[in-house]
Amino acid sequence: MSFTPVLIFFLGGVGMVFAALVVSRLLAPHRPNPLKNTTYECGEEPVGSPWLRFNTRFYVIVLIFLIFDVEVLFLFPWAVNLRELGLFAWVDMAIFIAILMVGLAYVWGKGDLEWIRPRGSSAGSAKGR
Amino acid sequence: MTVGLSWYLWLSALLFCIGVAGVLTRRNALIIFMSIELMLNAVNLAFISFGRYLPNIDGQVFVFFVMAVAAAEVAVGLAIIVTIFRHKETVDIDQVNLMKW
Amino acid sequence: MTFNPSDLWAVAPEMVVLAVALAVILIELLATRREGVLQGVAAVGLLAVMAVAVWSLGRPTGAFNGMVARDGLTVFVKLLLAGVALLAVLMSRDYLMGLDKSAPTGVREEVKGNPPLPPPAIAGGEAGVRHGEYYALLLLATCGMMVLASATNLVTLFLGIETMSLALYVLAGIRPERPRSGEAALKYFLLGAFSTGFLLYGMALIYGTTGGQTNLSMISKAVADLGDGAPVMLFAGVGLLMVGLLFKVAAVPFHFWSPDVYQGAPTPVTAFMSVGPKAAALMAFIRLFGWALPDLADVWGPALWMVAAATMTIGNIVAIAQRDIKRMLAYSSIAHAGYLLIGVLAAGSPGVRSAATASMLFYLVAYFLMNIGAFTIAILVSRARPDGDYQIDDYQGLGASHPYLSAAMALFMISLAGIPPTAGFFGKLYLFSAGVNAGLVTLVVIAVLNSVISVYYYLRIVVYMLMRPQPSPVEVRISPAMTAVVLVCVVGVIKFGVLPGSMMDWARSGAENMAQPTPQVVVDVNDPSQIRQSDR
Repeated sequence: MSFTPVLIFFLGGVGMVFAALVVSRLLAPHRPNPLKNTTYECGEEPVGSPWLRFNTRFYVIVLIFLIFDVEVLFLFPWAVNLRELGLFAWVDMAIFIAILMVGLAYVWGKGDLEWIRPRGSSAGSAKGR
Repeated sequence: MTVGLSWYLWLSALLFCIGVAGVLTRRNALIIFMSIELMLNAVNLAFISFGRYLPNIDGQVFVFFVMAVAAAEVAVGLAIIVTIFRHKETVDIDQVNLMKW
Repeated sequence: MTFNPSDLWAVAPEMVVLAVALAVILIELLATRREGVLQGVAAVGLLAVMAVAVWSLGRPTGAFNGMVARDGLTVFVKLLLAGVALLAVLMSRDYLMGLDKSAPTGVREEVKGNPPLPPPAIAGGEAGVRHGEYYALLLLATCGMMVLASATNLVTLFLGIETMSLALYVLAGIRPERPRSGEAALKYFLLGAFSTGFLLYGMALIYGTTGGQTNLSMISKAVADLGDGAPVMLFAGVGLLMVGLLFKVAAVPFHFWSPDVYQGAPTPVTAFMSVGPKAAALMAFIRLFGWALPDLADVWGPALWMVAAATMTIGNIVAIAQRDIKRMLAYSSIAHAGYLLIGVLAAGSPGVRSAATASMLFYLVAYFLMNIGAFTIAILVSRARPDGDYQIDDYQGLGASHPYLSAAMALFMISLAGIPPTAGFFGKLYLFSAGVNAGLVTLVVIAVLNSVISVYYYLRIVVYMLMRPQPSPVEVRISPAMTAVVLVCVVGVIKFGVLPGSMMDWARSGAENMAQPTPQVVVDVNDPSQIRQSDR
């Protein structure tokens, strides 16, 4: 396998970007003033730190999504070969999905998918399955 | 210029070492966690390149399982980190040291 | 590839465990007033698992194209693991109910300047720990251990380790209101995931250097074919794989997580963790190093020799300094892992392979009984304290106020130290004689010296119970389930200490009835007839 064209392409791409930056630096006039140096030249002045903290509930929802999302990994090879694999693989996958459904039912039934939860109820982050 | 198996293996080893160095030097639990994921992905690269050059399909199958397990690990790990954060307001592992030998 | 229904027998215990775990989850979801029901279902389920495991015993063979073994060794270990889980389940309910009563209100100080966060996961209200989650995770961890113990392929080995570990990470941190529990979970998780990276990299290198083999016996053949021409990458792979597994066994120098995790995790979980994962990971060790890679014994032998010596020495010496009984038992379990590694080393020499494996099985049974017993009594004594702490000083004068309890604890301590007539003595005897037969005389001498050191800290507890005055009266309440656990352990420790023959015979027949399956179907990517038309 020859990767020489890839290397040339890569270097060419990087070179173009730098060339554009250098040319604009050389040619453009450079006269800053305070208004130009603000973050948004027209619009609201930024207030406070941009380092906002996200609500940890996002994490919980994302975790639950992630778990169920990645299981699709096993569905793809199965779906591609379903005809050859036959009934056994179908039953296999049905069991697999059923186990996942138990997990989903648990998370749902325990209220961990609710965005707003009353304080002190049976709260709790769903950890793993 | 040709890219052979050894190139991929060196890249995989490099990524793995970056991951190990990250785990050993960083103090933020999330960054450590990202470094661990980097290690796992280095392993995936090694499996895929071995599988491609041998050639043997098992390497790819192994990567499927590694990915699924890594996702489960992410979920459990982040859940643990979130719980710690709720109680301690920090994810710095030097602050999580009630027990010493 | 065709599916053979009899293959299902090989994983029948795992399937039952999984079904019970799912049932427990559904009961937790649907039923009210469920604590007793959950424990009952989990316990009966584990008994069913044991029955199915015995039933599945047959001619040693493999299943699923050489992915798992179906043999006597596997059945023996599965019975052991189900037993560990059963006793852990029996001691858990009292422990969890105790938590519910004393659960803190979960008031958290608002930190100035930060936006208010959601309340801590456990905010009084309902039970502190959802019992169903707890039992389900315990069962899933057991399932992972069973897969690990029967794995004859790197893929199943990895899946078993991870199923076990993921469940244990959560179990260690299942009491988030207690900072130590969360800390234990975080440490266990980060170090565990780190070690998984090493394990996998080792697997990748072995896979690549053996020409694409993941089945253990095929790896063995490939290594034999390579002979002296084995590449350095193969050695690196074996080393990394060993690091990953040694972490799970908590061997020095990969033991740093274990005292903290054992101390921070809920005590029934600690008891479970100190036996189950060790047993399962050591079986993986036996299959991998004793059966698949004896040709490389010059490479992994010396390394494992040093690890074994360091593990028992450091475990015993640091245990002396401990004031917390859970930490002391943690270091003691590190030391016992060191003794057990002698068995793995001995299994590397083909002549004594079966004998070494059998002695390890016996040792694991003995260790299981005495260690679970000791942890159960530790729970009982700690619950007599208002703060529920685990100080060794609490055992002062216990002999006068609680003679039976103290007698049981003394028995477990004597057995852990390896003094006759207890199961621990015969465990050490069989294990060390297997070591001597394999020519590991120096290591066995080190182990015997270590046993002598260990007598000091084990008997210290007995001395405290019998010869120190009680500082303040202690009221230990014992429930029927706890009594049952302690009784089972006491009877077992005495039975196998006086008449070890029957258990040793089972262990021997289990170790001799061992399968090393090879895949029947190998897909060759280069063979056009095996690739479908549509893919080309």
